[in-house]
Amino acid sequence: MNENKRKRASIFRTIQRAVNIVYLAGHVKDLVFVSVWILIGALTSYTAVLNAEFLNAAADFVVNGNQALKSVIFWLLIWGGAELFLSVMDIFADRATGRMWVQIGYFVEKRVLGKVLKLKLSYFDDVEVQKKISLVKHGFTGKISGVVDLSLYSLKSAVSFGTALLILISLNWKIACIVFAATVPTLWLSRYQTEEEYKLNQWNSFEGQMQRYLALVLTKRKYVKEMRFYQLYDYVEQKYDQSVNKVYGEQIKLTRRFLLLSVLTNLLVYGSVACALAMICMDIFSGKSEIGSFMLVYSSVNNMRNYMRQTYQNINRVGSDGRYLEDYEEIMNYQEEKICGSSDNDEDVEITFEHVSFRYPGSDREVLHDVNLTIRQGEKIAIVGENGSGKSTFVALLMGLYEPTEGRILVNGKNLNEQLSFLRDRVSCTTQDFLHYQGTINENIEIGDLRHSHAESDIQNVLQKVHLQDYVDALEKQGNTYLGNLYEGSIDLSGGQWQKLVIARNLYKDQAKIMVLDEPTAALDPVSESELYSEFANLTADKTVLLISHRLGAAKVVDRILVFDDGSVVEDGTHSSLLGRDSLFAKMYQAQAQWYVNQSI
Amino acid sequence: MGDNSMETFDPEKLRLDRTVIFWGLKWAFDIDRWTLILWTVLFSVNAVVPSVFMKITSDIVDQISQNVESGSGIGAVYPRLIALVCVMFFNIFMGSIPNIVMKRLDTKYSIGMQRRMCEFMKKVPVSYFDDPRTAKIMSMAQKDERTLGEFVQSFFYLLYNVISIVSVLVLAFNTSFVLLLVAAVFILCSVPIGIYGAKRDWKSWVGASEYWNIAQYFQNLAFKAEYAKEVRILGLKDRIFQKWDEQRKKALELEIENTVKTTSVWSMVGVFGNIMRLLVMFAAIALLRVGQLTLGGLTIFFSVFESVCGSCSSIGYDIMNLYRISCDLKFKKALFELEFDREKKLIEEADGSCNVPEDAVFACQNVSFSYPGSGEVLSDLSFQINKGEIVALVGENGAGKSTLIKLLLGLYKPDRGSLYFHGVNYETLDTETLVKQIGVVFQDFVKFDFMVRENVGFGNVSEISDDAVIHQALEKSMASHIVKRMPDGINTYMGRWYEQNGVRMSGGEWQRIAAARAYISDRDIMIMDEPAAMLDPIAEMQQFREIRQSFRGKTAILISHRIGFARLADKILVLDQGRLAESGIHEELMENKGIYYRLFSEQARWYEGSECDE
Repeated sequence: MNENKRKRASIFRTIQRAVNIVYLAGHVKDLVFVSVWILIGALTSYTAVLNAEFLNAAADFVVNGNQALKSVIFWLLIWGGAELFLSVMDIFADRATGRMWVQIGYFVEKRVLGKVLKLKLSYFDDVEVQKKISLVKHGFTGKISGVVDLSLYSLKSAVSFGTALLILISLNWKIACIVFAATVPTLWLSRYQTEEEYKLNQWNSFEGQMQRYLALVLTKRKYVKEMRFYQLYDYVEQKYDQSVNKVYGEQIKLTRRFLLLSVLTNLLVYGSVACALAMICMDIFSGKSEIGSFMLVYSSVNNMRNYMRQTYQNINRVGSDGRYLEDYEEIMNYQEEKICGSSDNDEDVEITFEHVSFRYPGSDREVLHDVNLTIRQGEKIAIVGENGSGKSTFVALLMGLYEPTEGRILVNGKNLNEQLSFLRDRVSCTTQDFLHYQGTINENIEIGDLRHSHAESDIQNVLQKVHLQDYVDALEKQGNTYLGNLYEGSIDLSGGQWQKLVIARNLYKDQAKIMVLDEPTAALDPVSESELYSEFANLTADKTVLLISHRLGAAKVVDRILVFDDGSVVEDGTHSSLLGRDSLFAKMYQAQAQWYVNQSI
Repeated sequence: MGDNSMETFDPEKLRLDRTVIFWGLKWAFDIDRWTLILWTVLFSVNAVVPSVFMKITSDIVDQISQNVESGSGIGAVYPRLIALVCVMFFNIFMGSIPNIVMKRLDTKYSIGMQRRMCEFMKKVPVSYFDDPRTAKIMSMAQKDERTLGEFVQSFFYLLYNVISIVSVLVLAFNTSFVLLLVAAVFILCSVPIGIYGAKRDWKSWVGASEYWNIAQYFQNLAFKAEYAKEVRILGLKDRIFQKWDEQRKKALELEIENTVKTTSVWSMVGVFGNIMRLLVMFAAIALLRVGQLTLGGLTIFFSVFESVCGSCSSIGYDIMNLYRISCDLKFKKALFELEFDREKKLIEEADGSCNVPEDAVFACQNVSFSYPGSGEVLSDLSFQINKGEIVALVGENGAGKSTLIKLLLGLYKPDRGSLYFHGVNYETLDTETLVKQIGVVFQDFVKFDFMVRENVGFGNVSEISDDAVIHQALEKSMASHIVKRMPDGINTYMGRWYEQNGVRMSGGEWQRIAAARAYISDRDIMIMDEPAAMLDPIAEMQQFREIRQSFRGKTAILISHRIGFARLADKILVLDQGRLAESGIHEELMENKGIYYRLFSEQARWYEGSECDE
């Protein structure tokens, strides 16, 4: 795994990046405000001094009686007042930070979402990019706000640490030295340990993700048929057990590895604490210090150790969480799809492929090879070929989702890149793995054409055309019924119904000049399929049609057939001309037709 | 299960159900008692440590002040100093052990929970998933497999905080009655405040989670590779962004309100503690004056409040947490206590099975079936499939073909009528017998995000590690060439749920690989539901050819919208709205001019007028 070897981000750069985000989100004022509160909070260490003064006064009071009363009360009020002040301050600081970070988290999520929606499609085929994007998705926005938070808190803990150290030095510099020196090894150890834990977590997140998947497989309805019939529960459960045990084993191994070391380093630390306390006792006995100093040393030593550790850990975490900020910056720099070109005019569309070849990013297999053809307005074209011969990729290129590796695609003589807006506006396209959008039935149709306004009757109209109107009318909420399982009261459609709905979605874009249908009838029964093709001419009117289908009987309704084989267009002609000769199409056609035409088989 | 026992988590009515808590603890105890006991001991000991600290420190202060006054030596202080450092060290050491123990318990509980869930899944009637009422209980109960671990943890955190408060109170009582009184008052006031804060917190969390779920869906539309194409083609980016933003903003508002208010509530407890401490210190000074308090006692006065403040704010949270988790646990309890009212139908074994001829592989007698809450999908169905027959099941969308298959696989039980497999009633059959003899491809086959080997080998798990068997099955389903292209052959992961390097397949490719599940280990009976839906014409023909050749002597049931294949069949069964409308061979049914004739000619007319020369 690459992540393991990845270095920490530079702390300076990280803070710079984080502050930049705060700036962009428009929270600079809040940041200043929060910083001030936090730094005031750093005075916590100093209250120990006031506490010691109070204790001294109390000791004095025990010995000398009422004449010391004033000073006891004075120090009590000062100390208690300071503590009270700080705890009130906490309310403001916590509120302000809380509010700020929640808002910045939202801001970052918003920006990332906006960006990902515009990314070029090719990024989604790149495994590395996918990893980054999925990292972004899994709670990384919290990390970004955390980085600024952490930087501020490391400042706070640094100040608190400094205060505690100064207090100790002023009491007895030797104590300060001993405790400081004894704390260093634990810091070194903790750095080492956090780094190891980071690695383990990277690995765990894979196992955790797998465990979540396995839990779904074990319990969700979707899997029940196979799981039950093939009796897979024990097998999958074993996989789950193994993964859980593996994670446990690794965690224990790590803890064990550090257990002895941490015992030893802690022994050193507490030895130094014992020394410090003994030394201050000696000072008290020799009259150099008062009794309050004992408590002061006791709390300052603890403060110093704690804040020293915190400062160190915070700074380290800024470094390791900074990696998320690097990813964020990288994602924000990815290229976006440029949707440009005018889209107002109602002219015809002619598309030309010139020597187009294509490989998916990161693959060296040519999925399309030297494709040359022109699609004129109004042509009805069927695209046929074996699974994996490049048909769907051809459509993806035609939609401008990918750019050709070689050659070019022209729309009305201009490069497709410059005509993307025009093209997308003029094409209604239904892919094989179409979107089962979890909105209402009406919405599912509306998303077919969001750019133009439509009359309400348009929806009824297209539902009618695909023979779904009766079904929808019979529903309690009709077109406003939600599909899927996201909302209360949602229903689900059968495969055949979904397919009809998606065809309706395609038809809804009535201003389209080109209609692309990829396997529109795979889930339809013979009668519904036949209905669709009978009405084909009526439904498509004067639009250009690209129909991809394995059901070659449908090729009859078109006037041109493109046959793809292994990425190339090997045949291009009419139904009768292709059948007339010894073509691949004829072979495929007969393979299917023999079941219907021949008297004996 | 009564309806009221199924109440969901509602922060407003905080009520801990004792039976659920006992049930959970007993379960945890049964899974691993010794670790649990060890953990209890460690936790309790650790809870007392802070009080011990305070006691020792105060003793040291007393001793120093006495010795300084009396002028005796420093030596007497050392034992206590050493004791103090030892306790500190012990604290750190003990603090790290519960971590290990907890991880161990967590692991055992996750596994224990999943195991119990599996046992449940093995026997729950599949129809429970179709019934909206039972389906809801199941999905609620299956939400999280870590519930038991969380439950035990939250229970012990509560215990920890209670013990530590009690120990501090004991110390306070030892020091001064006044301190005990004030501390007790403080606790009585601040625990409810803590609970109130926790309530707020959860309430807004519950409220926001609905928005979050929907926002999450739209975020996924943007982030997931499988939607990326459609999102771009349909130009959905603004719509998705707006829909997401709508929900996310609502969640944000709740979140802000909640952060601001809850942090205030927490901090209030701190401020309140500080005020009480200031007041109690005046009392302490008075006590000091009359000699009822030593200097050491004074240190206890102020540290008691620090410690109690912390415990009090956590207790509210702990109680709330325990309540929330016990609500989840309640679902699990209800689930595992479900009795499957398998009204043992009076199986007319003696006479019933006699009517069924031995060579009938499947026999259906007056079978009716309906999904919970909907009309009959199959009505009064009677037929028989004999050994060695290839049967085509034909009908329009929604005619009940796939449901019939599920009945024949024993996944559903008929509402009325009887089903027989090799003359044995399904009521007395176990799935084992069926699995050994039947290979099946479902129409909506599962695309497991596992290796190719597993996706194929799931057809027969006992042969999953036999490469030759897997390859053979792939060969038969025409998927060999697809797998050959993959980086790790049959050990390549498919899908990217967790394995980022997994391969993504097209529909046709998936279909071939899933079909291999049925071909594995050469079973006598094959059931294939739409095996060619996504195949190209050549592959489709090869598949039919393969079926014709390799199914010789085998029994098979085929469903396909490509109806021409029915000519292969020895028998065609035509379903119409759940009834058996026609049955016979192709020629007979064509002459009948019924439903089959209509379906066949609807498809055939697209191939007419292009006779091919043989």
